[in-house]
Amino acid sequence: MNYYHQDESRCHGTQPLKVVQKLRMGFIAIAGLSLCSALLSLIVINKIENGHTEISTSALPILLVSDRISQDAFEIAELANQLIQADNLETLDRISGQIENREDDIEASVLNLDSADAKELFQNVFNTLSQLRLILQQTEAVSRQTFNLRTEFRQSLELARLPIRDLSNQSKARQTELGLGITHPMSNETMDILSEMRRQNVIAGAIENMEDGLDRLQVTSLPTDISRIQAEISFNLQEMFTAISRLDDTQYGQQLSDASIQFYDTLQELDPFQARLRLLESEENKDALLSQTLDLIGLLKTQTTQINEFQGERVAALDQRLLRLSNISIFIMISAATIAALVSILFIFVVVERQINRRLIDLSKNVEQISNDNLNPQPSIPGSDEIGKLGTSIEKLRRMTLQHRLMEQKLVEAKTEAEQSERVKSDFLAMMSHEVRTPLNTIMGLFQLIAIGGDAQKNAERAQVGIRASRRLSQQLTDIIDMTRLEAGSIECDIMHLAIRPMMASWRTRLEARVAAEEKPIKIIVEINDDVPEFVLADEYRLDQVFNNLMDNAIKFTDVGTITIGASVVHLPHGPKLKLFINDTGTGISKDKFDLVFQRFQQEDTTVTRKYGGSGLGLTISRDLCHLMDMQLEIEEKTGEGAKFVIYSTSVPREKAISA
Amino acid sequence: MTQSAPKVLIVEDDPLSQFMMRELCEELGYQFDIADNGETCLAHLQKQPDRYDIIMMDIHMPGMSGDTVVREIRQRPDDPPKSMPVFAVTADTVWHSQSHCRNSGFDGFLAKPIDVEVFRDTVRSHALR
Repeated sequence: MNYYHQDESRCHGTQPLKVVQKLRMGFIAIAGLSLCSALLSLIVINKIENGHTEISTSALPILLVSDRISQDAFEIAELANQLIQADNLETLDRISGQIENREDDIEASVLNLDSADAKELFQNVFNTLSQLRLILQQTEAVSRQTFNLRTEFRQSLELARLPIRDLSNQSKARQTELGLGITHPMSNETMDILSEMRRQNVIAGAIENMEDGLDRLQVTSLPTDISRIQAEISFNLQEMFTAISRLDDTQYGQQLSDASIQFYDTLQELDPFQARLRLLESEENKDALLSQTLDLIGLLKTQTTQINEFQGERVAALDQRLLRLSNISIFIMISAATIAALVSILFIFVVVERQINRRLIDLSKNVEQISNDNLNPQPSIPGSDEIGKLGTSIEKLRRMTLQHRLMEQKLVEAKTEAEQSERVKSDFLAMMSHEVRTPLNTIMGLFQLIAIGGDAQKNAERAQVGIRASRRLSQQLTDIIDMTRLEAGSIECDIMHLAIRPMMASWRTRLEARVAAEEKPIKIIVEINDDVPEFVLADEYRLDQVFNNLMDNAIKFTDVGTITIGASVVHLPHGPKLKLFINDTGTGISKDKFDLVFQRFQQEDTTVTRKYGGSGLGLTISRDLCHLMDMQLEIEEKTGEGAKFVIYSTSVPREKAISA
Repeated sequence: MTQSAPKVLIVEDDPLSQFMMRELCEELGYQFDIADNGETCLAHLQKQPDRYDIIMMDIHMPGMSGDTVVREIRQRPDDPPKSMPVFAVTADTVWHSQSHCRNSGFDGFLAKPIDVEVFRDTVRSHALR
């Protein structure tokens, strides 16, 4: 037992309590739950943030694109202006290329977008862009035409310059010729030559002016300038013609005139170019194109702005949604945490209440009950953990205590019985001592008297009484030995068929002799019914002993009247029984002492023993002997005085069956 | 001798013991009466208060027991005299104690089986003073 406990406690020392384990598991579960909710919240938040980033990243290209479009549009506007102003083919090509680049850029940007909403808006941009492209193509075409015209014009000018150069050369040659003609400074001829030279100078000046005009025409591109320069050239041509007509040298004049006419004709040929160029380069045309371009660019800007605004709104709306989502996620997180906390509190409460508190209360009640000596069965403590085990152990303890209590009671009873038995035995010994000493007193006293003296007759009388006392002493000792042997179970019965009627007759004879010896006026009667069988199954010696005791008893307690012995058959529910009886008219036994009479070393009144002698063992011995012979010795209740002892025998021989 | 013979009252219920006591007193030359029980004893004393020198009393008797009788005797004013010697004559070892007997009103005890010499000495020392 001790070892088991040590073992148990050692086991428990190294392992945490199961209740604590349960709690721990609960806490782990709660922690897991909290962690899960936190994780969930984190995932939600992450999702939201991802969404935010996604929106941002999806919105960002649109914004970037629209910004780029705006920028490109600005550049296109600038380039368009340059395009219109372009004065050579290279520049034109370069600008045109740049514009196309921008346009491609915009187109690519728009095509790269995958936002359906934005695409619709960008479609507008596309349309505007294609319009713009158209306008720009027109502008370019105009510029190209202008440029081509101008080239043609310049070529024409180069053509026109040839007669002028010829004229100039002729004029210079003439002057040189004239200069060589001057021989005498102040002669008429010289005067004429000087006049001719003056005219020649005018012509040269005109030619110079015209050359200058042509140079300027070469450079300018503005139609108004061209017209003015043409007018100047025409004026100079007119002046030259006038000068030519005044020339003295007609031949030379004629040559000049021819050359001038040729120049004039060439100049005239410039006019249609000029008209067309004027038309092309007219301010209205250019302005219209430019303003159209600018309008379209303005439209483009408006549209991109719209896109920007739309995107801004969308982003704002999405941000709003994200904010809401984030709020919701925070709410969810807080809720989850709160719920987890509540659940954990509830769990702890439930665990503590159900698993620990309630069961501990029950346990303490049980223990209290046990400590208050209430060992009745108690409600069991459920569970297989320490508290449950404790409950089980306490239940075991209770049962053990109950068993111990029962054992204790039995022990106390046994002890009491033993003590009583001991006391009874001690009393018995004392009584035996007394009972033995009493006849011994007579015997010893008489022997002393015989020894002292006395005549023969007196001594003989003394010896006779001494012999009686000795018999009594012998009887006492026999009873004691019988009692002891009965107790030890060492008396064996020799059961045989005993003839009832002769046995009764011998008892009667013995009774009569004793009554006579006692000198009591008692009448002896024998009553044997006809239905009584011939035999009874018993041990002859022991049945005789029993009847001797009963007869002694009857004589002792009866001073006068009758003693009846007899036999009869009684019919009981479970069969017939033979009944032997002895009935006296003596002192009698009160009903409440029936059991007491048969108890060892007991007589109804201790003093009764003194009066009638005897060890008080006779009835006890008789009862035990009857029991040994399968018979029952009882006292029968009777009206009137005296006592009636009956012996029932169940073992009636079949062949001697009762004839009813 | 007869004048100075002690007068003994014997209280004894057992017939065999009575016979022995009778023989004993006769042998020793005492005057004696035998009472079968306590009641008879008291009746004798009432009838002749001054007759007896000593009482030999059995303890276990039917009816009044010896100690009850001696208590009764001791309670009477002077009838018989308080100095009347009463001895317990018993086989019961409980009474084989001087103090026990004195506490119960006896002057002493005689153990059964009776020793003739002890009986004679007791009677002599208490009855012949």
